[in-house]
Amino acid sequence: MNEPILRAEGLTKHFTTPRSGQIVRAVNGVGFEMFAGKTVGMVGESGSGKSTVGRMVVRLLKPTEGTVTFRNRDIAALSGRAVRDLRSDLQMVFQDPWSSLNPRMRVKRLIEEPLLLHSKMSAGERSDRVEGIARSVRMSTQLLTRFPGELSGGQLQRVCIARAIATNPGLIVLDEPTSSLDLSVRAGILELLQELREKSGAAMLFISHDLGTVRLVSDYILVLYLGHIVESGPMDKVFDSPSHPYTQTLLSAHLPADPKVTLKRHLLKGEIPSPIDMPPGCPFQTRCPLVREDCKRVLPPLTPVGDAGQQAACIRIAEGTNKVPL
Amino acid sequence: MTLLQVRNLHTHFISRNLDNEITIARALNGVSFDVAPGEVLGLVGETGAGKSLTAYSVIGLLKPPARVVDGDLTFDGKDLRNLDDAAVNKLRGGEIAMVVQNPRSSLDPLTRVGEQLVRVHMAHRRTSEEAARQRAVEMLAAVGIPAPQQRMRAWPHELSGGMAQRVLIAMALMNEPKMIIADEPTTGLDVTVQAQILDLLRELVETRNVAAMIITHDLGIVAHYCDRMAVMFAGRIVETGDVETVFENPAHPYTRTLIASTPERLREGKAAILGGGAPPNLFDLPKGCHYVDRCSFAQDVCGEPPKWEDLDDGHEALCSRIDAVRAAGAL
Repeated sequence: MNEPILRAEGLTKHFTTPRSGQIVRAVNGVGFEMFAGKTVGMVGESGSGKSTVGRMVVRLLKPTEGTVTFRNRDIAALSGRAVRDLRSDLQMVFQDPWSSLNPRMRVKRLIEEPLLLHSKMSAGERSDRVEGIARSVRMSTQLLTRFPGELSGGQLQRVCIARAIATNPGLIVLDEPTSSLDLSVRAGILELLQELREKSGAAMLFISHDLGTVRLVSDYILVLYLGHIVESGPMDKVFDSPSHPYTQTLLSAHLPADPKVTLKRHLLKGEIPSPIDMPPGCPFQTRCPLVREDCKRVLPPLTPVGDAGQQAACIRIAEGTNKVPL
Repeated sequence: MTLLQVRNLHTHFISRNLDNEITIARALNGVSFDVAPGEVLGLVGETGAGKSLTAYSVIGLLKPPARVVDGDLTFDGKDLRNLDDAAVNKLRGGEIAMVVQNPRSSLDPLTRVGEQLVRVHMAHRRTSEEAARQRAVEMLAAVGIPAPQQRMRAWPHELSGGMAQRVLIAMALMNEPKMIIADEPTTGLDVTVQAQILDLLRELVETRNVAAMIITHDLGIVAHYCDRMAVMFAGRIVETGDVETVFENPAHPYTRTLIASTPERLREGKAAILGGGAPPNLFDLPKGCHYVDRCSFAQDVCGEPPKWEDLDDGHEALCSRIDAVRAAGAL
């Protein structure tokens, strides 16, 4: 196996609430690796810390603890100035394209902006490059003179992706890039991302709560619950034989768009607990259908399941009693 | 027996532009469908297709400049278009209930949850406040809210998204409606919560023989929670039928594109028939088929208004090129 482009270890982020001073334990000791040309899909409910992890990876947030090694350099502790130099190599695409573009800039200028900041190209070179990028996100060059308000959601998301790939980054974090788009438009964006990844060889971290989409684009899956990775592994393994009780119930709640698939479900009761008031022991113990006494005492570590790289954090796995009845 | 019958519904936005000329956005152009008790109809389509507008037209919540200009709306034998305001008010929230998107912005932030439920009940039923309170607690319990007695005193901001959506469903149930219209009831909720809410809705339909219409753009919800589906495009229904039939044999080119764009179909590796173009201009709709600019089957005949084609039992599509689509084979 080749060297990972990014390795996160013990990544932790705690926020303090402004008035009461309580500690929000958003992310608690997350570790994973990313490789060039591969997509890591991160799934979990809202409040599980997905976006926080994404933002720490591109250093929009500074981790409370832990290291992020990017191209053999720890970026977790870098100063703001040093991070800025890295930005051309680490890019991010956000969920809502309507609010992530300056409404007063024309599309051409929007795509040109990262080049102005990060390269020393002449105006002519930039102009050529902008047109090239527009073509590679399959956007008509006629749109370059328009303002964001004149574009549809799918076109705007293409502009955001164009901005992200303008500087040929080694890693792109995509935080719910297709959630706000219509189905047929979404399919086009997903196809584009796949194509760009093959062409540019960038590593991608794809954050989404839509299990169908994640399954479609990812090579490797991370399942987050209350800021902990409860299961990780190659996409096929995690989706076909989920091991952690949370992954099993999460996947069973997914509705595939095919009426012929019979649903086999175990529905979780209640909602994800507050990260201010973390349950002791395993984070999932308050909702787990298989909970027992020792789950409330010890935090289970991620342990290998099988030999294909799948890992899960549940004390029942070693005994083989981790199957949730569906 | 149908409960709600919509026939040839036209809703337009009529206003004047800066030159004081009358402009008409033809948002709904002849929408027809039925919903029967004990049945769930799924209304699907892209943003701007007119899904929510259909619901608002039915329950009379249109705001100017939107106006129903033509068509018949019959609910339980009553002609909805010719009812006076008082009669519509009685019906709405009483016999027809609506569950909207964005549960948190639909609750009054300055009134405790219980009080809002009580008000809805007392506006429609002659009953004591005590009895209304009793019923509110029962309904909160019925939608799976733990400790309903205490929750009566909760403020809307204290509820999570899933909880707020349950409160809205409880509110919809307060007066034992005959029909529930759910407009994107689970958008923005997590899959586990989504499943809980939809199970609840489905159970109501089955146990209380309620008629339901779910407006959504999530084909997964349609596939597993609806009996029949209607696909909308640019203010028209272009295909209706049993959910299984439509998924198996989508007939309208737009429906084919939609179904081919689901992650499940994309995973099968078949190239998607990508149809992600701009929706047609509602101020200047094509004379014939509205989908003509994005359709790969389009020919001259599509410039004429398309006719409904009967395919199988209850499966219909609005397309002049059905034979060509059929010849292209299954998806």
